[in-house]
Amino acid sequence: MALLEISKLEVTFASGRERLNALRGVNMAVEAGSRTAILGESGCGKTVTALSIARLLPSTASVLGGKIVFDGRDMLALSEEELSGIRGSQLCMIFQHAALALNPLYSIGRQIADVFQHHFGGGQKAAWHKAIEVLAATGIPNPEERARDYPHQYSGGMAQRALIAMALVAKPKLLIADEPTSGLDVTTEHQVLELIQRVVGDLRATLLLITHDMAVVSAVCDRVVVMYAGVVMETGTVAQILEAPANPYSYELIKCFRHSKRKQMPFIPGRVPDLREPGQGCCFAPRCPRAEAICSREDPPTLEIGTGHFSRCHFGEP
Amino acid sequence: MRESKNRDSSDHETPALVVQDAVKTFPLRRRRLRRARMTALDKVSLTVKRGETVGLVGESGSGKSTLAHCVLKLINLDQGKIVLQGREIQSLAERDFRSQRRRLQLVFQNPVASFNPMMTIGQTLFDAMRSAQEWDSTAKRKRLLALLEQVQLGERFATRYPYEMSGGQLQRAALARALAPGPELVFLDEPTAALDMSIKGQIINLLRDLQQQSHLSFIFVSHDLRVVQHVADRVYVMYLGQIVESGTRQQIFETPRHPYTRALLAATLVGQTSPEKEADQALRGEVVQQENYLGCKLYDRCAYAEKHCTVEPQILREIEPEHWVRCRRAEEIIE
Repeated sequence: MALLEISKLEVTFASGRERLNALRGVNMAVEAGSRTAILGESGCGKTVTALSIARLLPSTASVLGGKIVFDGRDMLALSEEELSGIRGSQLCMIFQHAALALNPLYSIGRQIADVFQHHFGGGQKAAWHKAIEVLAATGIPNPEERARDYPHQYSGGMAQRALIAMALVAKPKLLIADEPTSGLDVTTEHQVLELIQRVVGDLRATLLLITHDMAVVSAVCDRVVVMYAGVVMETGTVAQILEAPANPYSYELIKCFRHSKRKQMPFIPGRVPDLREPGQGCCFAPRCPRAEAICSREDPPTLEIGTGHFSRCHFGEP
Repeated sequence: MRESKNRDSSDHETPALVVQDAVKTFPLRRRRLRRARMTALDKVSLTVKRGETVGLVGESGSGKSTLAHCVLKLINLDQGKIVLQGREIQSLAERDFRSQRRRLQLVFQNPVASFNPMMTIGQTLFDAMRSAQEWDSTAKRKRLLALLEQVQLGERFATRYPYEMSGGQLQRAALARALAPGPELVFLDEPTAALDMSIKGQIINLLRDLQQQSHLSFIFVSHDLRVVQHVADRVYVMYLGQIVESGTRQQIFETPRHPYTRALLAATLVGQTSPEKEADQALRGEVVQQENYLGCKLYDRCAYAEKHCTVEPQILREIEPEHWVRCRRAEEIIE
């Protein structure tokens, strides 16, 4: 059974008098032990999906329908108290701007020690030692000294390491990483991605990685969920989607990442649909080179192209 | 084609921009009241020929933006010279420089933040034209339409407000604004970093068209080598305030010689190089700014470092025509 199963999830945001339909029926399953990526451009709903799983949506958001089952429990039905037993210990999240996710008023070591004490109890001294231990494990040099530092004394890469250390301390089953490297330099990005892979491997945890970067997906993950305008366009293994994308959107998007020596750089004409409007038919139809009359009229079905390979398109074959 | 055009027209002319031994330091606050300074630019020299696009590559903290700000005289250099079309501008007083400012324009990273939300695109462009010369209203109107045309936005965008436009459209409007006063050199500071992958190509292709249509020079600042590869004629790679390698696009992308350039390339093109190759190009640790460097600044992170690297200051050497590398082992570092 899948560790995480999302079905028909619909989330809207109130913006003034209008409603913004951020998620319009998202379905996905994350198998235990897998490294799944949610790939998409800004505004496609990848972060909203992650926040819904952890029940961290802001107050302007409302879940209109759907179900999120994590480890056999219906996340949307849990009380705040039950949730705090799950967050951190079973499900952990690391964010894009690590430095913003840390409390500026407490030392890094103290924040990690707090997490440890909260989940496992024990004395302050033991918790502090644990904090140093996990900081060392994530490759922070001189962990005894750096544990006493405050977040502003850490560089972006180190702050991200500290967040990963915090996740490590609680030993979660599922680690959600929301664009963990997008503010980092390319050479540091490489190291942080390696660290995430190592930590997930050591904990035997499941990874749900949210990214807009195809290179990150191919370096870290084994499965991909491609999202666009609040729906899932295609799911499959990394090999299936990178080598033989069935959905026109994935196909066009991957083309933009392909390293080409040609003079023109590929792009997708047009723009992302306005999520305030209900929209009819396939959301990608206005930009799709393969669109036909039916596309703007009817919602496309999700077809199984190969084993575990699904595409949301009227036309099955690529 | 573009390159041959540059050769013919610019080799005999004065370059659009020459930066010579630029040094800029900033004071650092330190414990124990020691006076320390951080060197943001460490004797940087750079030339931009007329009609040429120069890529300036490096990670955060490498001094790319400081250099841009110095050339635009938003801040002043500590030492060094900046020569714009044969005229030294570093020593000019602010008042004398003001008439020159229109010749240098800047496009910012974040298109949304760089527009006044209360002004339509047309008003913004009119405003930008004002610094060039006094136009009468018909001429202004005509120029506005020409500018919008040039960046492939229709006339209807003149009356739009920034919030009504997408990031890609706004970045095109930002380009139009930079072109409005008729500049000779346009600084592009990470112009595609805030854009989605599916629309980056639009801006890049537009830039290429502009290069071909006009004799404008561009300096394209970016950490994204993929994008630089598409637009730059020549590339400078910076690390901690120094140029570590410079050369033609081909030299930098096909036969990179500096370990830092190689690491950047390997890290950018993940999934396209083999994992083993990637691993031995990779840098250790993170950028650390120290106060005094005797030898190479990359020493602590470099896969090719030797004892000698710490004791000798590294100098830029021309190892092939136009290909400069700041590494004593440059010759050994070949595929």
